[in-house]
Amino acid sequence: MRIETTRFGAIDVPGDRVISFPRGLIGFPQVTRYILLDHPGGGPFQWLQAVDAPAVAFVATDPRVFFPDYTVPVSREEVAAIGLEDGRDAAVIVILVVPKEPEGITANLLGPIIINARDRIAAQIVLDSSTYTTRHRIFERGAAAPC
Amino acid sequence: MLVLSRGPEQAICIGEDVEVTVLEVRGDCVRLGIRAPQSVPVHRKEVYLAIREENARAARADGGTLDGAIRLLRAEEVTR
Repeated sequence: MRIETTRFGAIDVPGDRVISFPRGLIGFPQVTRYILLDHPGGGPFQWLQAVDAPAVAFVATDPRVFFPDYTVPVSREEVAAIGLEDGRDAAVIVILVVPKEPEGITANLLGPIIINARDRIAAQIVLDSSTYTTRHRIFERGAAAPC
Repeated sequence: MLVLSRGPEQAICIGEDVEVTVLEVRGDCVRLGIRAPQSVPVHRKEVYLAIREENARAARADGGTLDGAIRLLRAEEVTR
Protein backbone atom coordinates (compact mmCIF):
# COMPACT_ATOMS: atom_id res chain seq x y z
CA MET A 1 0.00 0.00 0.00
CA ARG A 2 1.13 3.55 -0.67
CA ILE A 3 0.99 6.11 2.13
CA GLU A 4 1.59 9.83 2.05
CA THR A 5 3.92 11.31 4.63
CA THR A 6 5.04 14.85 5.27
CA ARG A 7 8.57 13.85 6.22
CA PHE A 8 9.34 10.98 3.83
CA GLY A 9 7.09 11.73 0.86
CA ALA A 10 4.99 8.91 -0.59
CA ILE A 11 6.22 5.51 0.54
CA ASP A 12 5.19 1.96 -0.23
CA VAL A 13 4.72 -0.37 2.72
CA PRO A 14 3.29 -3.88 2.90
CA GLY A 15 -0.29 -3.73 4.15
CA ASP A 16 0.45 -6.36 6.80
CA ARG A 17 2.93 -3.98 8.48
CA VAL A 18 0.15 -1.68 9.67
CA ILE A 19 -0.19 -1.50 13.45
CA SER A 20 -3.65 -0.74 14.73
CA PHE A 21 -4.11 1.49 17.80
CA PRO A 22 -7.83 1.12 18.59
CA ARG A 23 -7.69 4.07 21.01
CA GLY A 24 -5.06 6.04 19.13
CA LEU A 25 -2.30 7.69 21.12
CA ILE A 26 -3.22 9.87 24.07
CA GLY A 27 -4.31 13.21 22.60
CA PHE A 28 -4.57 11.66 19.11
CA PRO A 29 -7.65 9.44 19.47
CA GLN A 30 -8.68 9.72 15.81
CA VAL A 31 -5.37 8.51 14.41
CA THR A 32 -5.51 4.74 14.76
CA ARG A 33 -3.29 3.21 12.06
CA TYR A 34 0.50 3.50 12.09
CA ILE A 35 3.54 1.89 10.60
CA LEU A 36 6.95 1.60 12.23
CA LEU A 37 9.80 2.69 9.96
CA ASP A 38 13.48 2.45 10.73
CA HIS A 39 15.12 5.86 10.77
CA PRO A 40 16.72 6.36 7.35
CA GLY A 41 19.99 7.45 8.98
CA GLY A 42 20.29 4.24 11.00
CA GLY A 43 20.80 3.98 14.75
CA PRO A 44 18.32 2.67 17.32
CA PHE A 45 15.59 5.08 16.20
CA GLN A 46 12.31 4.39 14.47
CA TRP A 47 9.43 6.48 13.21
CA LEU A 48 5.88 5.72 14.21
CA GLN A 49 4.21 7.18 11.14
CA ALA A 50 0.44 7.59 10.88
CA VAL A 51 -1.00 5.89 7.83
CA ASP A 52 -3.95 8.25 7.39
CA ALA A 53 -2.44 11.53 8.63
CA PRO A 54 0.71 12.48 6.68
CA ALA A 55 1.94 15.02 9.25
CA VAL A 56 1.61 12.80 12.31
CA ALA A 57 4.82 10.93 13.09
CA PHE A 58 6.69 10.22 16.30
CA VAL A 59 10.28 9.24 16.87
CA ALA A 60 10.41 6.08 18.96
CA THR A 61 13.00 3.67 20.28
CA ASP A 62 13.40 0.38 22.07
CA PRO A 63 13.77 1.62 25.66
CA ARG A 64 16.21 -1.16 26.57
CA VAL A 65 18.85 0.48 24.39
CA PHE A 66 19.05 3.47 26.74
CA PHE A 67 17.41 2.21 29.94
CA PRO A 68 18.39 -1.45 30.45
CA ASP A 69 16.51 -1.71 33.74
CA TYR A 70 13.25 -0.28 32.43
CA THR A 71 10.27 -2.56 32.91
CA VAL A 72 6.62 -2.09 32.03
CA PRO A 73 4.12 -3.72 34.39
CA VAL A 74 1.02 -4.26 32.31
CA SER A 75 -2.40 -4.79 33.83
CA ARG A 76 -4.75 -7.58 32.85
CA GLU A 77 -7.11 -5.01 31.31
CA GLU A 78 -4.37 -3.61 29.10
CA VAL A 79 -3.28 -7.06 28.02
CA ALA A 80 -6.86 -7.84 27.06
CA ALA A 81 -7.28 -4.52 25.27
CA ILE A 82 -4.62 -5.45 22.71
CA GLY A 83 -5.51 -9.16 22.60
CA LEU A 84 -2.17 -10.26 24.00
CA GLU A 85 -2.17 -13.94 24.95
CA ASP A 86 1.54 -14.66 25.16
CA GLY A 87 4.02 -12.25 26.73
CA ARG A 88 6.56 -13.29 24.12
CA ASP A 89 4.46 -11.49 21.51
CA ALA A 90 4.78 -8.19 23.38
CA ALA A 91 7.07 -5.44 22.17
CA VAL A 92 7.58 -2.13 23.95
CA ILE A 93 8.65 1.16 22.43
CA VAL A 94 8.81 4.63 23.93
CA ILE A 95 8.26 7.98 22.24
CA LEU A 96 11.07 10.52 22.10
CA VAL A 97 10.97 14.30 22.00
CA VAL A 98 13.73 15.46 19.70
CA PRO A 99 14.78 19.09 20.25
CA LYS A 100 17.41 20.96 18.22
CA GLU A 101 20.31 19.74 20.36
CA PRO A 102 20.58 15.93 20.33
CA GLU A 103 21.87 15.95 23.93
CA GLY A 104 18.40 17.14 24.96
CA ILE A 105 16.46 14.20 23.50
CA THR A 106 14.05 12.82 26.09
CA ALA A 107 12.10 9.59 26.31
CA ASN A 108 8.60 9.31 27.69
CA LEU A 109 8.96 6.36 30.07
CA LEU A 110 5.65 7.08 31.81
CA GLY A 111 3.54 6.48 28.70
CA PRO A 112 5.11 3.57 26.80
CA ILE A 113 3.56 1.85 23.83
CA ILE A 114 2.95 -1.87 24.06
CA ILE A 115 2.51 -3.78 20.84
CA ASN A 116 0.97 -7.18 20.32
CA ALA A 117 3.44 -8.07 17.58
CA ARG A 118 1.53 -11.16 16.50
CA ASP A 119 -1.74 -9.39 15.73
CA ARG A 120 -0.22 -5.91 15.27
CA ILE A 121 -2.49 -4.24 17.79
CA ALA A 122 -1.04 -1.64 20.13
CA ALA A 123 -1.88 0.82 22.87
CA GLN A 124 -0.17 3.61 24.74
CA ILE A 125 -0.42 2.83 28.41
CA VAL A 126 -0.13 5.03 31.47
CA LEU A 127 2.15 3.62 34.13
CA ASP A 128 1.29 3.96 37.78
CA SER A 129 4.83 4.89 38.68
CA SER A 130 6.70 7.36 40.84
CA THR A 131 9.98 6.23 39.27
CA TYR A 132 9.36 7.27 35.71
CA THR A 133 8.43 10.59 34.12
CA THR A 134 7.56 11.78 30.65
CA ARG A 135 11.07 13.25 30.18
CA HIS A 136 14.15 11.11 30.71
CA ARG A 137 17.24 12.25 28.88
CA ILE A 138 18.59 9.41 26.79
CA PHE A 139 22.16 10.68 26.95
CA GLU A 140 22.24 11.08 30.74
CA ARG A 141 20.89 7.72 31.73
CA GLY A 142 17.91 7.87 34.02
CA ALA A 143 18.02 11.57 34.74
CA ALA A 144 14.80 13.47 34.25
CA ALA A 145 15.04 16.65 32.23
CA PRO A 146 13.84 19.90 33.76
CA CYS A 147 10.40 20.92 32.58
CA MET B 1 -20.52 20.41 37.74
CA LEU B 2 -22.68 17.96 39.60
CA VAL B 3 -21.66 17.79 43.26
CA LEU B 4 -22.57 14.80 45.44
CA SER B 5 -21.59 13.87 48.99
CA ARG B 6 -20.51 10.25 49.45
CA GLY B 7 -19.02 8.43 52.39
CA PRO B 8 -16.85 5.33 52.65
CA GLU B 9 -18.24 2.36 50.72
CA GLN B 10 -20.79 4.54 49.00
CA ALA B 11 -20.71 4.74 45.24
CA ILE B 12 -21.96 6.62 42.24
CA CYS B 13 -22.97 5.19 38.90
CA ILE B 14 -22.13 6.92 35.65
CA GLY B 15 -24.32 5.58 32.88
CA GLU B 16 -24.86 1.82 32.81
CA ASP B 17 -21.26 0.70 32.95
CA VAL B 18 -19.19 2.90 35.22
CA GLU B 19 -19.19 2.75 39.01
CA VAL B 20 -16.99 4.80 41.33
CA THR B 21 -16.81 3.74 44.97
CA VAL B 22 -15.26 5.62 47.87
CA LEU B 23 -13.12 2.98 49.56
CA GLU B 24 -11.42 5.00 52.26
CA VAL B 25 -11.04 8.56 53.44
CA ARG B 26 -7.84 9.28 55.29
CA GLY B 27 -6.83 12.88 56.03
CA ASP B 28 -6.86 14.80 52.77
CA CYS B 29 -6.66 11.64 50.63
CA VAL B 30 -9.58 9.69 49.22
CA ARG B 31 -9.15 6.16 47.86
CA LEU B 32 -11.51 5.41 45.00
CA GLY B 33 -12.40 2.13 43.35
CA ILE B 34 -13.45 2.40 39.73
CA ARG B 35 -15.30 -0.25 37.79
CA ALA B 36 -15.48 0.51 34.07
CA PRO B 37 -15.47 -1.42 30.80
CA GLN B 38 -12.14 -1.97 29.06
CA SER B 39 -13.14 0.54 26.42
CA VAL B 40 -13.17 3.32 29.01
CA PRO B 41 -9.62 4.25 29.97
CA VAL B 42 -9.25 5.58 33.51
CA HIS B 43 -6.23 7.71 34.40
CA ARG B 44 -5.00 10.07 37.06
CA LYS B 45 -5.68 13.40 35.42
CA GLU B 46 -2.29 15.05 35.91
CA VAL B 47 -0.49 11.99 34.51
CA TYR B 48 -2.85 11.80 31.56
CA LEU B 49 -2.32 15.50 30.81
CA ALA B 50 1.47 15.17 31.08
CA ILE B 51 1.51 12.32 28.56
CA ARG B 52 -0.86 14.14 26.23
CA GLU B 53 1.38 17.22 26.32
CA GLU B 54 4.47 15.09 25.69
CA ASN B 55 2.81 13.38 22.71
CA ALA B 56 1.94 16.78 21.25
CA ARG B 57 5.57 17.92 21.62
CA ALA B 58 6.86 14.66 20.14
CA ALA B 59 4.58 14.91 17.12
CA ARG B 60 6.32 18.10 16.05
CA ALA B 61 9.66 16.34 15.52
CA ASP B 62 11.34 16.81 12.17
CA GLY B 63 14.06 14.30 12.93
CA GLY B 64 16.91 16.50 11.73
CA THR B 65 18.55 16.16 15.13
CA LEU B 66 18.47 12.37 15.04
CA ASP B 67 21.53 12.11 12.87
CA GLY B 68 23.38 14.20 15.45
CA ALA B 69 22.14 11.77 18.10
CA ILE B 70 23.47 8.83 16.11
CA ARG B 71 26.89 10.50 15.96
CA LEU B 72 26.76 11.00 19.74
CA LEU B 73 25.95 7.31 20.21
CA ARG B 74 28.84 6.24 18.03
CA ALA B 75 31.18 8.56 19.95
CA GLU B 76 29.99 6.99 23.23
CA GLU B 77 30.69 3.54 21.86
CA VAL B 78 34.22 4.57 20.94
CA THR B 79 34.99 5.98 24.40
CA ARG B 80 33.59 2.93 26.21
